[in-house]
Amino acid sequence: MRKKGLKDWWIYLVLGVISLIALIPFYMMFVMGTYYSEDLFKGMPLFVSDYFWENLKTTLSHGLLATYGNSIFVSVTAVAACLFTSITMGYALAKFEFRAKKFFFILVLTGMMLPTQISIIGYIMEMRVAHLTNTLWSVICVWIANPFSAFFMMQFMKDSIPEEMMESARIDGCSEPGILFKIVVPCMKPAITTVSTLVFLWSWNNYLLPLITLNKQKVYTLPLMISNISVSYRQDYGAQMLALALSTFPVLIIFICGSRHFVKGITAGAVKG
Amino acid sequence: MKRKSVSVVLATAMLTSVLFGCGDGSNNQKVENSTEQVSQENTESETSDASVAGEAADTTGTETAANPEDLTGTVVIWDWDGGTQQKYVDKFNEVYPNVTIEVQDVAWDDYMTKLQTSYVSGMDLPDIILGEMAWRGTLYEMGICDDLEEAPYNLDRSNMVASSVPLVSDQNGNILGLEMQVTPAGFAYKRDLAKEYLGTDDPAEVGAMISDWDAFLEVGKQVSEKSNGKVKMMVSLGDVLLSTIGQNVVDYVDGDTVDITKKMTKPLETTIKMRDAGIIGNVEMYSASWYSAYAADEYIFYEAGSWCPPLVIAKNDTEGEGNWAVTTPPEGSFNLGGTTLSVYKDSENKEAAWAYLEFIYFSELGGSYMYDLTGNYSCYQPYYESEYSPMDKEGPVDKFFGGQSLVKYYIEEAAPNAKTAPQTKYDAIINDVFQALTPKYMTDMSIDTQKALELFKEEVQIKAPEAKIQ
Amino acid sequence: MKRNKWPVIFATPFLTAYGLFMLFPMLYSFYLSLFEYNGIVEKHFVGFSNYINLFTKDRLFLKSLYNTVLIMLMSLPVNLILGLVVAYLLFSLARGRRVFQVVNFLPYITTPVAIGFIFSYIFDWNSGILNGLLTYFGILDENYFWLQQPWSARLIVAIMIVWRNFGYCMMIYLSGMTAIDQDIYEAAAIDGAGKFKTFFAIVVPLLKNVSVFLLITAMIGGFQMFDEPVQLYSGWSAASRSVGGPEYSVLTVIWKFYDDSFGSNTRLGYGAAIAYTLFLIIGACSLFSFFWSNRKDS
Repeated sequence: MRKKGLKDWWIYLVLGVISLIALIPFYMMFVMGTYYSEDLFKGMPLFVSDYFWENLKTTLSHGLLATYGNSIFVSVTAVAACLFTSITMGYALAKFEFRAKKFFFILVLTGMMLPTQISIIGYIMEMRVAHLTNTLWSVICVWIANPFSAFFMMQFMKDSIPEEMMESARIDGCSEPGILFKIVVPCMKPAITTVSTLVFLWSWNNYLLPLITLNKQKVYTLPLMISNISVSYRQDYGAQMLALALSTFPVLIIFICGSRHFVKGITAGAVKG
Repeated sequence: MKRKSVSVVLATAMLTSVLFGCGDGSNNQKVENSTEQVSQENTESETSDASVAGEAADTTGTETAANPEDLTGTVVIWDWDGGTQQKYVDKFNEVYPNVTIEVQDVAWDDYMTKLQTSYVSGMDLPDIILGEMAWRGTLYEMGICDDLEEAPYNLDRSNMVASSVPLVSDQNGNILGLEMQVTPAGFAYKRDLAKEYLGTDDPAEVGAMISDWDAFLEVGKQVSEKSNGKVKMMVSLGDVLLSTIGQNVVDYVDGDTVDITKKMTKPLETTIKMRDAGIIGNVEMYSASWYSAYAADEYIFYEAGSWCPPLVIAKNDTEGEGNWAVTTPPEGSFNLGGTTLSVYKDSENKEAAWAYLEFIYFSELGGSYMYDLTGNYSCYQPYYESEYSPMDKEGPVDKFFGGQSLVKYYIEEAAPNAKTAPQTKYDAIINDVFQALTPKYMTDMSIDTQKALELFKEEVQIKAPEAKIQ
Repeated sequence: MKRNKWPVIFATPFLTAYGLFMLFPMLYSFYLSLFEYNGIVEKHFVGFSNYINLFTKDRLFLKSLYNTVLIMLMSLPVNLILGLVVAYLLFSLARGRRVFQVVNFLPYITTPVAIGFIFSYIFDWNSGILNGLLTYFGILDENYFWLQQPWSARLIVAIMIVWRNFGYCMMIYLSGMTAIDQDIYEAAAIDGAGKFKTFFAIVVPLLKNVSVFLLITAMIGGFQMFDEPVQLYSGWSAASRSVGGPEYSVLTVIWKFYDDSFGSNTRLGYGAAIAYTLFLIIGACSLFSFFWSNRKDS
C-alpha cells in the first residue's frame, strides 16, 4: 500500500493537466470579471485586475440582486415541481404493471427526443391565454414535466429499490402514497440530487423562453439581465463576465454540496440505460 | 400651401376621427410624395418651405397639447439603450406628468427575435417600436407600424429633414417612423496619425486628400510605405464595404426582382481594390477587437455616422480626447445606421405615445434637449432655424474632437449631401449578407469582384428564396 | 388488481403537465408544419410540401444536417473516451478524488454565453491568445483566421463541446465504476492484472450499459447542438457575427430551425417542419443504436 502513492504520480500528472484545461476558461471568466472592458483586449488576462468593484457596481445598478432573486425563485420552483412529477411518474413506470404503461413510456421517450425549442410558439400562446406572460410562472411551467427526469427516476427505482421493501410495507398496511413518500423517497437521495442539480442548471441558464415571455425588468431572469448590461455601441464585457461568474455560484454550491450523492445518483439511473 | 391646409383640417378633425378608428384622409399625400423618394434633387425646395410649414405644425401642435396634464396613459418602449431614453422620459414628464413611459431594456441582438416571436404568439407589443437600420426594412414590411401622417399623429413631412424622409418611409411612401436622429456619415480620423502620415490634421485638407476612393487608395499606399505596413487606413474591410454600399443608392428592387448586380458591383469593386492594396486592417467588424481598435494607434480612418462620436468613439477611446476629427468620406457622405421610432398599430395609447415622440424627437425644444444630453441631431427641420438651433452651440463631444463643430459638419455639410432611399427587407438581407461574407472576402485573396458578386447573389438567394436575383 | 388505479394516479401529475406544456404545443407545431405561415400573412395549407422542400429546394437543410453529424463525429467519441479514461484514472486515486471531480465538472456548469465569449477570445484573429502564442513561438508566421475558415470553425465548435461535456461523461462513468461490485477489482488485483489489463478486461465490458446510455443521450443531445456554435458566431459574446459561421460550416439543424423561425425569418410552418424532420432522424438513430446494442448482447 505504501508503494501506491509513488506509483500513482503519473496519474496525478495526467489528471492535473486535464483539470487545468478544464479550469482555464472557468478561471478566465472570473478573472475577466475584474477587468475594465477595453483592457481585456490589450493582453492576456491572466491575473486579477483592479476593476472588480466598478464592474460590481455596474451589475448591481442593473438590478443584479432582484434578478438573482427571480432566477432563484424560478429554478427552485422548477426543481420542486419537476421532482414531484418525475418521482411519481418514475414510480408508476418502474414498480407497477398496468395496461397503459407502454404508452406512457413511449410518451416519455418521445419527449426526450423532441428538440425542446419546437414547442415554443404553442407554449407561449397557452401562457398568454392563461394570463401568465410577464410572470415567472411562464418560465417555470415548462419544467414541470421533464421527460429526462422522469426517465431517470424510473431507471433509478428499477435498479435500486428492492421489491421486497415495498411488499413488506404493503403487508404492514401502508398506503401506496405512504410507501412512495415514506419508504421509497428517502432511499432516493442520490437521484434527487442529480435531477435537482441538472434541472436547476438548465432552468437557470434558460434564455429563449424568458426572452419572449418576460417583458418587464421586474421579472427578468439573470441571463436576460446580463445580456442587457451592455449599453448600445459599447460592450461592457468586464461587467458581463463578472455577472456571468457571479451567476454560476448557486449551481456551483449545489454541485459541491451534492457531489457525494451525485456520483451514486447518476450511476443508478444510467447503468441499465 | 395645399399641404398645410390639409394638415390643419386633419388636426381639427382629429378628435372625432380617433373615436371612429383610423383616419384615411392623407392618401392623396402619399401618392404625391412617393415620387420623391430618392430625394436628392428635391432637397433644396423642400428645406426652403420647411420653415413656413413648420409654423403651421407648431400651431397644430399646441392645439393637441393644449393641456398636457390632461393626457394620460401608459406607453411602453423597448430600447437597448434604456438609460438614455429614460433621461428623455424624465424631461417629458416635467410637462406631461400623467403619462407613464415605461422603458424596457431589450438587448440589440434580441430585438427582432423578441418582437417577431411576441407578435406571432399574440403577446403584447410595445407601443413604441424601434427600427434599427439592420432590420428596419423587415419591420416596415411586417405591417405593424402606423402611418404617422394619418390621425392621430398628422405628421407633416415637410418638417422633416429632407434626407430622413426616405429612410422612414416604406415602399409605398408611407412615413412609418421618426428618426431618433439624422444619421449622415463622415470619416473620423486620429489627428496625431494624420499629422504624422498625411502631413495635416485639418478636416478640410484631409478631406481633400481623400476626395475619392482612388485618392484614398493612393494615400493608403503612402501611409503603408511610411509606416512599414504598420498603419492601415481603416480597421476592417467591412467598414469600406458598408460605406460603399451606403454610397451606392440605386433603385434595385422591383417587386420580387432584386438587382444585386446594380446594387453591389460598384461597392464590391472598390472593396476588393482596397483589400488587394493591403491598406485595410484584418479585424472583423463589430467584433470585440473591432471596438477595441478605436483605442489602437494603427488605424487612421473610422467610419463615423453622426451617432458615432458620442456613442462609439468617445466611449471606446476613453483616452483620446482632442485627438479626433471628422471629415467628408471619399466620394461624399452617405447614410450610416440610425434608428427610427414607430407607433404600434394596435397600441391603446397612441395619443400618449405620439405626444412623447413629438415632444422629444419632433419639436424644437425636444431637439435641444437631445442635443444637450447626447449630442443627437433631431430630424425636425425647423429646429435648426429656431431660437434653439444648435448650429452655434458646442456639442457634448466637440472638445473630444479637438474643438471641431460636429453639428456643422453633420448638419451643414453631410446631411444635405447624403443620398437616402426607403428601406426594404432586401436592405436588411444585404446587411446580413455583407456581414457574413466580409470575412471570406478578407481571408480569401483569390476572390475577385466577379466572384465576390456571385457569392453575394448566392447568399441573398438563400436568404430570400422567393426573390428573382439579377 | 385493486392496486391498478395507483399507477395511473401517480402518473397523472406528470401526464397532465406533459399534455399541457409539451404535447399540445408539440401537436400545434406539427399542425403549423403543414402550413405556409409567417405570423403576418394569413396562413395557408400546403400539406407536406414544407417537408418536401427541405430536401429538394432548401440548400442549407442537408448542409446543416451534414454539419451536425460531422461535428458530432468529431466530438462524441472523444467525449466518451476521454470521459472513460479520466474516470478510470480518478477511480484509482487514493486521495483527492472529490477535488478532481468538481474541477472537471466545472465546464459543464459554466454558462454557454461565457464559454462562447472565452472561446472567441482565445481564437480571435487579432487579439486571440492562440495566435499570440503560435506566432510568439514561431510556429506560425502570421496570424491564422481560425474562426473564418470552415474546417477550423467546426474544429473549434467540436473542442467547445468536448471541453464542456467530457466532465459529464466522466461523472457518469465514475459512478458506473463505483457501482461495479468491488470484489471484482480485488480479484483482478490478486490475479496480478495491472491497471491497463483491468481496464480493458473488466471495466470496459462491464460499463457497456453506461456507454450505451451515454451514446444514446449524447446523440440526442448532439443532434440538438445549438448553444456552442451560436455563442461563437452570434449574440453579444461572438467574435464574428454571421448565421452559421463561415460558409455555413457550423450551421446546425436546430440553429437553422431557430433562424428560420425566430431569427432572419418567421417562417414558423417551415421551421416546425425542420424540427419534426430532425425528430424523426433522432428517433430512427436512437432506435437503431438501441437495437444494435441489444442484438450484440444476446
